[in-house]
Amino acid sequence: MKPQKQTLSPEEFLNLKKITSPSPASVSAITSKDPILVPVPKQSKIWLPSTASFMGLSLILILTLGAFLQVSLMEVYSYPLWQTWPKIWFILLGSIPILVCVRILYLEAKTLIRFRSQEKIQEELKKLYTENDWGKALPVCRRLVENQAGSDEFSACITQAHSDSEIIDLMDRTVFSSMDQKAIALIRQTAKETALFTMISPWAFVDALLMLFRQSHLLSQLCHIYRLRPGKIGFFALYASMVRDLALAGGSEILSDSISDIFGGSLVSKVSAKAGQGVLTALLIARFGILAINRIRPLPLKQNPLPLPKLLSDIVLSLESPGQQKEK
Amino acid sequence: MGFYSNQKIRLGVTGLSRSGKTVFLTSLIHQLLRDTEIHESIEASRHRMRALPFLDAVHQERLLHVSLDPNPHKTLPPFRYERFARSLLSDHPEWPDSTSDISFLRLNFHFISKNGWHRTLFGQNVLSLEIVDYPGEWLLDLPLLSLSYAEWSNQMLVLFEEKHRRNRAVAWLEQVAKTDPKSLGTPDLIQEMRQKFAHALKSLKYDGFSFIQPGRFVMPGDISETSELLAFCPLPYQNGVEQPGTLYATMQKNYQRYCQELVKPFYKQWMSGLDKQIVLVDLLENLNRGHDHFCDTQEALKTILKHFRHSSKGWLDWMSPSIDKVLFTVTKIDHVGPLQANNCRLLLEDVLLDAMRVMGMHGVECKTEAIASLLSSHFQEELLEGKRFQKVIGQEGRDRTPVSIYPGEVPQSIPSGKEWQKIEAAKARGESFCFPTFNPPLLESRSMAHIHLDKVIQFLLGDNLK
Ligand SMILES: Nc1nc2c(ncn2[C@@H]2O[C@H](COP(=O)(O)OP(=O)(O)OP(=O)(O)O)[C@@H](O)[C@H]2O)c(=O)[nH]1
Ligand SMILES: [Mg+2]
Repeated sequence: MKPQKQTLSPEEFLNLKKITSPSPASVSAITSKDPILVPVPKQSKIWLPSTASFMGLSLILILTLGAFLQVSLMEVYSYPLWQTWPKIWFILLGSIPILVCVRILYLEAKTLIRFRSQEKIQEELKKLYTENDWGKALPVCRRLVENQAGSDEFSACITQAHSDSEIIDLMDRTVFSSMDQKAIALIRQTAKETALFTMISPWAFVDALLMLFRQSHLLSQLCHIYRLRPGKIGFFALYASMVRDLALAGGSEILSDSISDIFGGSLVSKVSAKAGQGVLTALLIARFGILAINRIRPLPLKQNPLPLPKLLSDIVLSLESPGQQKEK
Repeated sequence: MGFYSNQKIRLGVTGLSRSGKTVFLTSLIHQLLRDTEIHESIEASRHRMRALPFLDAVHQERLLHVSLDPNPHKTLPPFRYERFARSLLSDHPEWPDSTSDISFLRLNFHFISKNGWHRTLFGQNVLSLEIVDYPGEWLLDLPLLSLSYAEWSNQMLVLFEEKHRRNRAVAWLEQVAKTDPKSLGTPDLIQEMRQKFAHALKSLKYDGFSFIQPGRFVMPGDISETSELLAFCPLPYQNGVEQPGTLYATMQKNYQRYCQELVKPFYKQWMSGLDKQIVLVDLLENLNRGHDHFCDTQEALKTILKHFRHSSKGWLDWMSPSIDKVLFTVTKIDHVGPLQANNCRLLLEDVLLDAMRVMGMHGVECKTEAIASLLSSHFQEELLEGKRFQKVIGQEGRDRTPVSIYPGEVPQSIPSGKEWQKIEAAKARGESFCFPTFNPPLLESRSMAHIHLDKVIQFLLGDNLK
């Protein structure tokens, strides 16, 4: 079998020079016409509290605590000790949660700083990928893949002759491709489960809650797969920015359009409304998952790993199977 | 034993002489064979993974093993891989000698399909890749098929008015001027003229020019140089020259035989069956040699490429090449720093722009790549007055003296007249484009390093190894 020959249209033909030379377009997210992925106009920046504001907040907290202790101690000294015993207990007990808070804030601050440096690394990699340079990407990549599975293989296959973009590609292949596989399997699983649940649940309100829960859970699992530790605040910021992206992109209308594209308009009307909703939520979850991967990964995926028709048939098959088992 | 799904593909490897075909093929086979040298196959696949990370089938661990067919063809001489590899991997490595004939080899790829259905049906797949290595000079003969003797002669005589050609063909041009084409075509006269013409072509070739027609005069392949088929040279047309027995008529007859008996069968047999083609170009050497050579190579490449366009011109129709992918590669980029590799690629793209467009129009997928088949140098970056310089360090001469050079910058597009002046000036100062020929590296690990061979294989065979 030979692959079909494609003939270029005159416009493409004039653009051939552009096509054959590496273009930044190859990097900027995914350009396929797949409805799951296209409609994100622009990734909004993740809003993270700056280090200064974080410090300020912590300082205020600590000062409050100090003032509180001061006041309490003043009280302690102005009375005979036996009278103040219960109050000391009160003060001590009261300050424990505050200390815990401080501790949590401290840890949060640490992860946040790390998360932000990782964000910066990703920005840097994106920039290096589009430039034709040499010798700059390797230290960055090394830092990123330190102690991860596949990092040995990565170091083994790079040579002096590889340019920066090639080194980034190689990192993608050796370290991140196995993570991708896990992530895709997870997304598929989550999408199927959510679809099933939506179909049997009678309340739309519960569906919506479930959706939110599923999404955030998926996001945190994906972070875990890609070894990204955003911390609580970072996670919330990440989630918020993704929800914003999705909202900007518009949601279900696009998807139902694309479903009717594939099935000639009759699927959504034919299938019972509830089942349709199930499929829809599955697609939303899948889309969310893939956007999340592109956010978390150092570079966006090169092609869509979950083509819509395949995902659909997957879901439909998984819906059929319980019935089939009964027949047997 | 499972079923095998067997696929056959024929790849043409060509390039003008000294463009690096032999080294390319040797290294390519070496990278793929690996497991015959290292017996444990896990170790072999790990090696391959390191050597060819950009080849998908290797990266996804689907390529099981590759074998070289010892007797690939009944009539064609086989590519002598063992010999070339042994010489390159020995303790005193030497570049292979010049080869001037067609050669043939077959590689069998045993791999697992990516497609689940296919996998369950067939288990293992075999892709048998036939590689035809032929001198690019022979491709230059293709236009002869559409030219009559008179037309061709005319073209050649015009071409030989260029200074660099005229200087090298003085004896032949004098002879042409004083000989009457209507005179009797005695064998002695014909041989004398042929010899002078061949001498002119050979000296052009010796000095590194590429646009040489007819190609068999310098690369005879398996025919003898005194053969009647080669007994002709361009002659000016006059009224009445075509009477039987005249010098002109005899040469015309030989020219036609040359076309019919050498050129046409070659294309019919080899070109029509090709599925993929890789063209190697030694761009750096051409830049190295200067403006005349560069333009000459450009012309030669354009002529060669005409035949890949399965044009509607008619004279190519019978050939109907089935080529669907053509890769153009700049070879020997280990002579410049890694920052320049992309520039080399872009320059070649600029040279071939029109041809690639037309081929794209006809559904042939084209790409350019910059490669070094056998990495013979290493790089060092230095900062001088805030500017980055990439130093290339290789070995030269019998005693392997290390040399380090600053090759300078390769232009991204065809240099204009002014830029050529700059380049020449820089060259005179010894600042750019003056590469020595590096020795092949001494390979203690017995494994050849390369640049971008994996990308080459991926482009040409990636779809077939899915
Ligand atoms: N540094 C370096 N030099 C190379 C490389 N490949 C080829 N060369 C040089 O180029 C010369 C010609 O290479 P060959 O492979 O013999 O070229 P060819 O096209 O087979 O030449 P003919 O047989 O004469 O047509 C070699 O002798 C080497 O000096 C390479 O990858 N690196
Ligand atoms: Mg050769």
